[in-house]
Amino acid sequence: MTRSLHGVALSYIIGVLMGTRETSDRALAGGAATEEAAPENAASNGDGRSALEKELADYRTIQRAVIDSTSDMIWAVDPVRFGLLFFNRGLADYFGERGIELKIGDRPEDMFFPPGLIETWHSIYERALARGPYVMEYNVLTGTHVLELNVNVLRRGDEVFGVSVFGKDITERKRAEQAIRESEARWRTIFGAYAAAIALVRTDSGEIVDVNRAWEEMTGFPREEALGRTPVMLGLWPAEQQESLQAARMSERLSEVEVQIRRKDGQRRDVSITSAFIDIAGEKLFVAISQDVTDRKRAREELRELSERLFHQDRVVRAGEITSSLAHELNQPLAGILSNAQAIRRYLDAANPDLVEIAEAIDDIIADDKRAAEVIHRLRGFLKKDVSKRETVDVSRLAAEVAKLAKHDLEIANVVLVMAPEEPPATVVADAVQVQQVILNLINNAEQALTQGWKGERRIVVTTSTNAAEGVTVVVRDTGPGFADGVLERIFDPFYSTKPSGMGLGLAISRSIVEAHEGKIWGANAPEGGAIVTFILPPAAADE
Amino acid sequence: MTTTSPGVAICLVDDDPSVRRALRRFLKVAGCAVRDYESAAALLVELDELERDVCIVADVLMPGMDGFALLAAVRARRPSIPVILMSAHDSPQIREQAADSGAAMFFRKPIDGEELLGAVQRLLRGTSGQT
Repeated sequence: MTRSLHGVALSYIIGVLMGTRETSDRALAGGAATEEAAPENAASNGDGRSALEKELADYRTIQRAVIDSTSDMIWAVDPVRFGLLFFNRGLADYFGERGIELKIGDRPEDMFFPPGLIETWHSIYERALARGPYVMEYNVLTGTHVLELNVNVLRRGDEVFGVSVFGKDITERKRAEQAIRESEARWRTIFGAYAAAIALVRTDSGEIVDVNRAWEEMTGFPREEALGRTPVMLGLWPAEQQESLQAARMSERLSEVEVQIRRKDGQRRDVSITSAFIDIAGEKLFVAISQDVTDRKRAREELRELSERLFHQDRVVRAGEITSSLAHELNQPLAGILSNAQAIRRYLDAANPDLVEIAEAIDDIIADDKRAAEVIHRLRGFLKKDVSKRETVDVSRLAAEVAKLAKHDLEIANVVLVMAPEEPPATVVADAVQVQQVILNLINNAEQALTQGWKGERRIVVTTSTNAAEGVTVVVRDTGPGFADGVLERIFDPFYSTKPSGMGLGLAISRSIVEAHEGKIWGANAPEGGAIVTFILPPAAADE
Repeated sequence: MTTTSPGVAICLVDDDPSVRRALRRFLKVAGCAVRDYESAAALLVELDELERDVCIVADVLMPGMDGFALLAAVRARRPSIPVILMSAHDSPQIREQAADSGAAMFFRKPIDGEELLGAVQRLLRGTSGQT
């Protein structure tokens, strides 16, 4: 359409221009100065220029201005040797930039083209002379420009007096078209080959505009069947589902929803759909990327079951460990009780029983009995951890409460307790009582290290700190002797104790609690002396 | 009817003070000469000075040197002294290890003092018979 219009307009303009010039064979417009285009041919008429002539002169001036105001190249050549009959400013500038000043009668191709190309160039004119007007695309020599050439034959009656060319620079348009083609091809490739199912959907109606192969496979519906219909029409999901999906899409820039779809074959699958707005040719669409998560979901559930089973097994194993350690820990006081009872029996056999010895033996029996009861009491505390109440707690605050509890005992033992919580509050989702139990155990442990035969400074420092990635870290450091060589690996084992009065449960309980919170606990010796026990409670798992 | 055992000398090694005291009390009232040690190392210091007809009764699980290590040291330096091992841990493995390493006997805690006494008497009669 545009091309032929261009052609018609051009022939007309040039036709008018050339046809009204009496001296069409001599210099016409040169460098295309507008005033030059004003005809001087009315001289013979002197002042007697007719109104028509004046009007015509003005008209030519306008035409000339128009022709020169475009950067497109317009020119005409004679039909014999193809010398320039006419050229506009666009052509003059093009050659001017290349150091060539054009004149009427020139053949710019002679100055510019390599010999082989001159014939090719002339064939443009020859073709018009032989077959009439036409339009073609022409890549200029340097390969940097593309011209759309609109070639016309100029006639004066039956006589052909020239060939006009309208050379429109379409480089940018071609480049843009190419870019669009490439981008379209890329999009098609990605769209088609993407492993996830993709559907383009109208934002208003939910009507499917396009789908890829993965979508066809996921839903079982061929593309042709899906286009122009909505998921509800296809029976993928009910209308209520569509509404809530639509609502989620409208409320967020990028929404992700998990839905269940009913495939064409009736099979149900769990699908995760991520939708985003996309603007295609002025129309707002949703691009919905779906992934079949049925297997993943099942795997996740299996994993959860497995970990629950493992957790249970771990508890069974640990219960076994505890039973064995418990037997040891109870057999010790029982041994004392039995020996003392048998000693009393022997004392009583004597003619004059040593009542002082008997009383001491009975006191020892009482003490051993209490010791056995304490073992059982602690064991109950150890097992109680299974009932866990999780809430958001500030570990610094919990530690401060523990410090209050421990303060009295520590003062009596002449131990200084320093609490060093760091800002901000060390919040984590945990069982408050259990976390306090851990902190108390660690403080007790440190206290024992400081009071049993230790002659140095008696100080315990408890620091709490938090960071987003790791969670809350609590460090309990003492100024005591530190852990002996070879002890560090065993300190968290149940009933392992390095202290004569120790039950060996404090650190084991602490480990159990920390691990039940998916945290870590470990011991170390400070380079400057003293023991350090650190535990970390991770931030709450995001998916629970 | 209980018997007294004059002249029976026992070295008792246990890191648990209450067990040590109770057993010492019983053995003493039964007429034994008892020396008690809170660790294997403490006994080893005096090992060379111990009389011939003495019996060592040692706990297996002790911090530092355990009962098995003590047994090995005694067998190396004073092979004629019988060593009885005892433990609050009772497992086939520990009994086996006690037998393999040459313990005269193994007792599970809580120990029946009368049984222990009988065993010690039998062992010492055996060793004195050899001298």
